[in-house]
Amino acid sequence: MIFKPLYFLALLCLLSLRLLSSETEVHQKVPLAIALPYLQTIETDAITMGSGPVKVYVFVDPYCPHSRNFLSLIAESKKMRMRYTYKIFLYTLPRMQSEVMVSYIYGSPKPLAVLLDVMVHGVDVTPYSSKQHQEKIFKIAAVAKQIDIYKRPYLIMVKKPKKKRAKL
Amino acid sequence: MMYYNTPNVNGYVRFIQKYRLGIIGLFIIFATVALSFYRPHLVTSDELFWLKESKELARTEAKEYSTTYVARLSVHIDRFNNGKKLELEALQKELENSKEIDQVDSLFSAYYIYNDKSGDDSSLVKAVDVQKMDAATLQQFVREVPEPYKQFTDTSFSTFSFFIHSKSPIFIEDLDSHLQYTISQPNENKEITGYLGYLILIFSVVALFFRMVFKNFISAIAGVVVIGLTLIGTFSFIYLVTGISEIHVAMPLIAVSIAMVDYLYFYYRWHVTQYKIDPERTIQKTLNRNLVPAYWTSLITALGLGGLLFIDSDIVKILSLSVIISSVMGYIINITFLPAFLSFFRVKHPKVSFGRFCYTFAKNEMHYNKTYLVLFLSATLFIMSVGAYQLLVKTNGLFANSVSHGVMILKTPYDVIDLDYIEKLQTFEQKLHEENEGVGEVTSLASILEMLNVANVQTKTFDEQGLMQALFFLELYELEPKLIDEESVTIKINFEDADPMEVVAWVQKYKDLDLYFIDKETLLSSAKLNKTVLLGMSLSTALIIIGLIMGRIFRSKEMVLVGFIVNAIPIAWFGLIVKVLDIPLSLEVLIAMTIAVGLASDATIHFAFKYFRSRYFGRTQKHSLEIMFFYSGVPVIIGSLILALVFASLNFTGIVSLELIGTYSSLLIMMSLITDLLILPVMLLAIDKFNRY
Repeated sequence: MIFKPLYFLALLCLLSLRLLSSETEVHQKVPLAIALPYLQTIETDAITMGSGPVKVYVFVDPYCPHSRNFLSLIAESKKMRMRYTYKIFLYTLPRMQSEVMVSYIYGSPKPLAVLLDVMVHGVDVTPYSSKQHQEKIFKIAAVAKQIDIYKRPYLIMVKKPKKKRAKL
Repeated sequence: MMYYNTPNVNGYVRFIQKYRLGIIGLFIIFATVALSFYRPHLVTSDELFWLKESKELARTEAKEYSTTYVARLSVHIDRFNNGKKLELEALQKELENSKEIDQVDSLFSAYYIYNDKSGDDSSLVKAVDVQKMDAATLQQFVREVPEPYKQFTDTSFSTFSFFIHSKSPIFIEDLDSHLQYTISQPNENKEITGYLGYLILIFSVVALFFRMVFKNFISAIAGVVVIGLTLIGTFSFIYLVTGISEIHVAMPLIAVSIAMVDYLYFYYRWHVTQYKIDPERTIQKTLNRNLVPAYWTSLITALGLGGLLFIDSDIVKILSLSVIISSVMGYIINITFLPAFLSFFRVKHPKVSFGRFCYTFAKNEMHYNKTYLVLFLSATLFIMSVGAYQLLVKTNGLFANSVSHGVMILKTPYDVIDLDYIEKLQTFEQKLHEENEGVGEVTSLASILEMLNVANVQTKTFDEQGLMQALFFLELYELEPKLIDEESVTIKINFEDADPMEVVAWVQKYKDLDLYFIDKETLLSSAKLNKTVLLGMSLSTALIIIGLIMGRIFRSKEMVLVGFIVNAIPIAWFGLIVKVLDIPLSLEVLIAMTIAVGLASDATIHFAFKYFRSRYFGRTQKHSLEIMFFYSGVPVIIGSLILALVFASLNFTGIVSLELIGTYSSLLIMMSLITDLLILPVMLLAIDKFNRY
């Protein structure tokens, strides 16, 4: 009988610890020097937008509202596309259940156009899964986990500091 | 020539009487020629004078930064609701659409930076216009996050401020809005319409007063002509010497004041002399009694203020030249034109109603209380010491609240926007708040980047990545234009409860950033700040020189002190009023002070001359005081009252500058008069070394 309260106490302690650990979950930002070599391994798998001198690695989920908002802002701004080159990686958020859409976009002949249709223009598409690009999706996910991409959109920028620039 | 000598002017008077028509004609020709060649450029604002000499403006212009005017439009409403919000938004648009306006900062152009999240795994930094919220939400939001927005509205949401930036001063008169508003605009030069009308009004008041006091038209006509000739002569001469054609509208009033009082000494003597003496000899008496003291007054003014001509400042030059030249011109006209003109006339009833005051003053001042005199002089010296301390140590305290629109715009150049540079900006802002109590919101690239970084859950610490991402969002939400351009960063400081001049002085001394003043109001304040010590020292030096020359004229060390104190009393007490009422130092204040020095030094010479001359010739102290009051006191009373009235009437002109000079000068002139009537005679009695009785 004595074990029963102890059992409950232990359970309570474990639960508290679990709760505490989830509340104080801190994402240690991976320094760029470490993250960049990983990113470079998947750079060819990115969907590229813009032609600016500054590179921005962006992790988005096609169903994430903030990812959509972010992409819309960039797509609408010529200035932002001229100043930056976006390397867009599709990386699903578990709760969004966007795996099929990610696969569909990567599998399409013009991934950028489809990406913009889905995320910016709100075109209603019926996605289907394509096994052809699974390896690419896993590779991106592996790098994302490695460098702790915990939210969408997630940005990593590589550029030189802002210098005086000529008038546009 | 000493005060007890009487110059022989018989030959000179005969010459004047013989060639009187020629002399008058010569002056008419001179005035006509001067008026046809010289076209003064009258300005109503002192901004031009100050900015011309501004080193800060020169620095800003050398950097090719364009300067801006900032006006503050305050709209007052009873209750803030969606309807009023729409009206205020419409006002914002109306202002923004104006071609003259570059930028309008208000609650309706403000944005709100935050982290928009839908779960821990999905969020984005957002910067949205606060005006997108409805009235109730907006009110709630501003109450929760008041700091960035309290410059635009008060806690009760009854006053809304719109900060209007423009390249040239804007004068908002007709807004489509039905909202009730007030506007604080730059004190910029306005087109002068009807200035001639004001001049005619001044001359008419002077003429009318002369007619009333002397009960004849000769005094009025002669007065107006003498003052007019002095005015024309003074400014034509200044133009010839300096080439400066810009004349502040209030500057001619210096010439008017000095010329009028000088004229009164001569005319009054001529007028009252006719009471006893054969009218033929009145000119002779007028000249031999006034020639020497009037000569000394002109000389004392020239020497006292002459040193100021070497100061590299147009303001100081024109002010001192106005006094010197008008004093010399007045002297020449009073000893040539005036006797020639008056020789045609005689006065049948030469009575002046102010005469009886002389006996009252003389009687009462004979028994002055030494303790009171010592106390008063000690108080004056204390005020002067505090003034000197303020001038030398706490210079900026003299300019309280002169930056009226509540903001200061600065620019600082950059080569690279990196962490070091942002840290420099942050340090500046931090020190600004720490070392200047009451400074409100500071809007700059650093503060906005910091807000963007705080909103960015992904970066948290403001490191290289944080900076890059903050700059990215800055561009994404187009927040850049107000904060940064191709080569410089803009910093906007809200003074809130801080003393603006303290902040101006602090920024000038700040060395870790290369800072440039951009708004004209701040540039103006900094220009004044830089000139304060110079102007204050100039005026003090002038007073000391005046005192020294008086000591030399009367061969008395004590007269040095009397000369200095009597001239300094009105300035010191006026300075106290200026400080208590928080009146900012302006050209108008300086002009008023210059007029006061000019008049006080004249009065001191004339009073002392009459008093010591009478004492030398064996008159008693009381009799000497009566003579002094009768021959010098009455012209001073008449002159001061006319001038005070004329200056006070300037309050109705509608020109701010003239209104200010009117108020300050009438106040200073009355203070000068009180000093001349109550303090100067008592001090002369106190230093009197002649045997009593």
